[in-house]
Formats: sequence, structure tokens, C-alpha cells
Amino acid sequence: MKRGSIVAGFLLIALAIVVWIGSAAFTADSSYFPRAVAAIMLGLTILMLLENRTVRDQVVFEWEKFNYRRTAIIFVITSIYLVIMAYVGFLITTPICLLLMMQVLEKGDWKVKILSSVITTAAIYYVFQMMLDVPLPAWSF
Amino acid sequence: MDLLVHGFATVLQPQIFFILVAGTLGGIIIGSLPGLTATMGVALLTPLTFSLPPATGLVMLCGIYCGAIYGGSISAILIRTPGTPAAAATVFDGNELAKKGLAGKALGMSAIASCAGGVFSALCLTFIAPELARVALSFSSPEYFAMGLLGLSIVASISGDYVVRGLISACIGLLVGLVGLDNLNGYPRFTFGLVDLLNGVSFIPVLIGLFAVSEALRTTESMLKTAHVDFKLSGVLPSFSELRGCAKTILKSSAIGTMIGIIPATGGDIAAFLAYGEAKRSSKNGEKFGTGELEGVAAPEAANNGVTGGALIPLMTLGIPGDAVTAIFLGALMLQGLRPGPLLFKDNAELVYAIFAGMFLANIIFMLFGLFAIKYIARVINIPKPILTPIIFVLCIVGSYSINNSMFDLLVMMFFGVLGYLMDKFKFPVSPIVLALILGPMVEGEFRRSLLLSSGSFSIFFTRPICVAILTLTVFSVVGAYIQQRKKHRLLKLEN
Repeated sequence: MKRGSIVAGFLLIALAIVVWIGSAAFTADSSYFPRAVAAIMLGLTILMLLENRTVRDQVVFEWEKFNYRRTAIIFVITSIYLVIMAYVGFLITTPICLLLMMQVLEKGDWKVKILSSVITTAAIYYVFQMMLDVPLPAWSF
Repeated sequence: MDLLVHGFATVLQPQIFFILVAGTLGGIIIGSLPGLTATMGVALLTPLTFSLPPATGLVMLCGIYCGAIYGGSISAILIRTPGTPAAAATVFDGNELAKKGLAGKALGMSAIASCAGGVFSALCLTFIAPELARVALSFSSPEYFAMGLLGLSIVASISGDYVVRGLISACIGLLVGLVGLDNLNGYPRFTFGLVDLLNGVSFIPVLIGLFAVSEALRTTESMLKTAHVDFKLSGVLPSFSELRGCAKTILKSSAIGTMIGIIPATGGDIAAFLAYGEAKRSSKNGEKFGTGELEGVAAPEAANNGVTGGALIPLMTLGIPGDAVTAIFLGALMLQGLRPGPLLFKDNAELVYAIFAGMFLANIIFMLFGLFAIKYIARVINIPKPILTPIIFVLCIVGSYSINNSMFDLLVMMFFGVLGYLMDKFKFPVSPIVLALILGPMVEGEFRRSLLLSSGSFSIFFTRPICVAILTLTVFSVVGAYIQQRKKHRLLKLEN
């Protein structure tokens, strides 16, 4: 925790400085508020770091307790899905993405997963595209 | 009274009523799934309301909100895991009753008490809010600035043991709220030359990212085994004598819940525990609490649903959200082109009363679901997490995309999802970001307008009695929370 707080503290101080400097280019009345927020954030971060001196060191990420690799894989699949969906369309990419994620989270039972992916995709498509008239990304080639 | 009748007539139109029923059911389902909080549920389902007319969309949101708070009790009773933090106190007696084979009775009492609490708070909302709005009509920019600041000071209270970190999160929210064209002079701030940022960061993708994506990412860390409900859910309807035995507790707890709801930064969990404690203290069977007492289910359930109407009072009358769920509610109102506050009661009275009617009816609808369809609804608890979590990811994506049909909004959602996930790891609360994101532009705008009114003199904030009173309250709120936290830390240190 202590080390995590120090890293977070330095990142926040950097952010406050960037905001302060970035606001210099604004008009006088537009820069007033951002600079005030940056100054307050700087003060609070220093206070946090001072408080942190008295806090006992704790582990932030308990690697053994959770499967961080799985979280990272899910994040990557979601990111790829976002990019591909814009071109290939919602109807094709969604069941594949769902199926992949389900498989990453728990292996096996393909039948249930394929069925769940297809039904979920169809239900979301029906509610958003057909009922609510929200256009979802379509095949763009 | 005419307006209220008109409100009911609006909500009882078949299409709106159907949407209300669907929203309430959706809320119950999300609320009953452990790991999906009411905040996450409301955030996830809010995009569904955008393409609907304002009355329909907002009434649906009422249903989701009330349904989700009630739904938390289902898993609390059946599998000893509260679906929402507000249902944590229900676990004590609810699950004990389930173990004795009286799960149906506990669920029935939970439905009735929740409904009573919700209806009581909706009544208070209907009769207190318009009066408060009338008082607030006399407010001007300095008072609104002070109110906004008071709203931001709430951050200190909702940050638990991490007041300074909560305030830092609020600063991050304020900075995010600054992105886009300056409201007063149109100057672009922190847009980095991106056209997508000129109108500011879209609120809903931020919300979905912080509350839903980050939560779903956390779920993937450890896939808990899915619980299986094997209780026989019969005898759901409590007997007349059981109801009479709990009536006093239900009424008292409803009042506690509503009062707690009105106070910003409190919430359903605090109300439920307070009401449980009070019921235990004043009940004839106090010593049996925790071993499966129906009163022990009725008290927290009446209180946590009592919060729903109470929490909407400061939101609707002053535009100040007291917690994350009402902040989302505020966002939904704004996306419908409405600005909560006293003028809402003047300019959109019919819509306001439709919301009130929606709150009444949502409570009755979930009670009917709870009494007559619980056997089927409870089965959602059996949905395996590895199937549910990917569906949540896709719903987050579709929900964020549907607002502006923008891929940029999806990037915003992912960014805030990861930010929320990391902030949680480093013990920075995320709710303050949302409060600050909403209140920041208001605070800045009213502050600058006040200075324009006073030709640049700060004395305007210290010469108006209401403004001074609110500012004093703000200072007490922040300093009080900080001192409390320091005291707690010192006590812990001494104990160690």
C-alpha cells in the first residue's frame, strides 16, 4: 500500500502540474477553476503522502489470490472486439467475443456457451436495434 | 393533487406501464445477482432509457432503481450473499429463516416490507419535494454555488476510511468535468485538438466504465462458484398475525429509511443497519434477532427501500445527488434535456409527478413480483458467473455506444473501466468522480456568475444568510469527516 500510494502520489502530482501549466494558455476566467482544482489536488496529494508515512506497509496486489492473467486476457479480448466490431459489425463479432470470454473464464461446456452467446446477441440486437431504434455497428465492407 | 392524478394517468398508459414493469423486473434481476450492485444495474440499464420519451425513460429508471434495491434481499435470504450492499443487514435473519425451511416466508415479508418502505418514501417525496422546491426558488447563483460545494463535500463522508483519497478522486472528477468548451465563454479546455472532446466527456460511458466495467474486471479475477438455490419457496404470503406483529417495525423503519435517504451521502446500507438496530432494541423478541425473526427481515428491507424516495428529494429539488445511484439518475435527467432543481417543478410539473407516480407503482409492482413470481425470479441466482460476466461486458459496450453511436465513447468507457479498477486496488473510492463530474460544471458556472453579479467581489458569498449557512455546513462536513477518520485511525493504532 505504502509503495502504491507513493506511485499514485507522484502520478497525481504530475497531473496537477500538467493541469496548472496547461491552463496557462486559457483565457483568464477559463483558467481560474482548473488552476484552483490543480492546487487543491496538489495539496491533498501531499497530505496523502504525509499520512502515508504512518501507515503500515500492506500488499496492494495479492497476486496469488486472483487470476490476473485472466483479467488481462478478458481486457484484451474486449479491446479487440471494440476495434473489429466497427468494421465487421455487431452480429458477427458479438457471439464470437462472448464465446471466447466464456471459454477463458471457464473451460468446457461448449453447447451451453454457444447457445448463450447466440441468444444474448439476438436479444441485445432485438432490444436495441429493433425496439429502441439504436443503430448497432453493421458489416462495412 | 390534480398533477398527481395526471401523473398516475400518464404512467398507467399501457406502453409506459409496460416499460415500468419491464424496468422493475430488470432491476429485481440485477439486484438479486450477487456482485451486481444497484448502482451497476442502474448504470447498465440507463442507456435503454435514452431513446424513449422523457416520461417513459424516467419512469423506467424509477422501476430499475426500486426493483434493484428490493432484489438485493433475494440472494441475501437464499444464499447468504446480499445482492446489493443495502441488503447486507437482511442476511442475519433472512438466511436463518431460509435454513429453517422458511425461505418463502422471509421472501414474502421482504417484498411486503420493501413495498411499504418504498411507498412511504414515495409519499414523503410527493409532499415534501414540492415545498422544498418552492423555498429553493428564491435561491440565486451564490446559493447554488454553495449547494454545489455542499454536494461535493459529501465526498468526504462517502469515502469511508479514505477521506483524503476521496477528495483526490473528486478533484479527478472535477478535472474530467472541465474537458470541453467552457460553458460561459466557449473556450476549449483540455480537448487536445479532438473534436470528440469539444462537448466534454460523455457522462454515461464514464459511469458505465467506473461502475460496471471495473466491477466486471474485478469479477474475472476470481470466478466464484455459482450458488445453487435448492430451497422450496412455498408459503410466501405472511399470515395476518405475522404482518400485524411487524407493522410497527415496518412503519418505524420506513421513516428511518426515508430520513436517511434525504441526508446526502448516506444510503440504503446505513439505513438498513440503523433500522435493524432500532428494531432489535425496541422489539419484544429483540434477543431472538439473528436467529430467524421476521421482524429482522422487515426492518432492514423497509428501511433500504425507504431510502429510494428520500434520496430523490434533494436531487429533484436542489439538483444535488446524494449518492452514486442518484447521480446516475441526475445524468439520465440531464440527457433527457432536463435540469433538476426548483425550476423543474415549475416548467415540467407533469413529468415530475409522473416520476412520483412511477415511484409509487414500481414499489407495488416489485411486491407483486416478489409475492407471486419469486419462484421463477430466484432462479437467476443460478446463472453461472462465467456466462454472466461476458454478457455484462457486451451490455456495457452496447450501452455506451448507443448514446451517441460513437466509437470514441467506447474508448472513454474502457479508459474509465481500467481507471476504476486500478483506483479500487489503490483504495481510491470511485463514486466521488461521478459526483464531481456532475457538480463541477455547476459549481464553476455558479461561482463565476456570482462574481459577475458582484462585479468581482467575493463578499457576495458572505453577505447572504442562506449562502453563509450552507458554506458553514460544507466546512463542518469536510472537517468533521476528516477528524472522524483521524480519530478512528488513532484508536486503531492504540488497539494495535
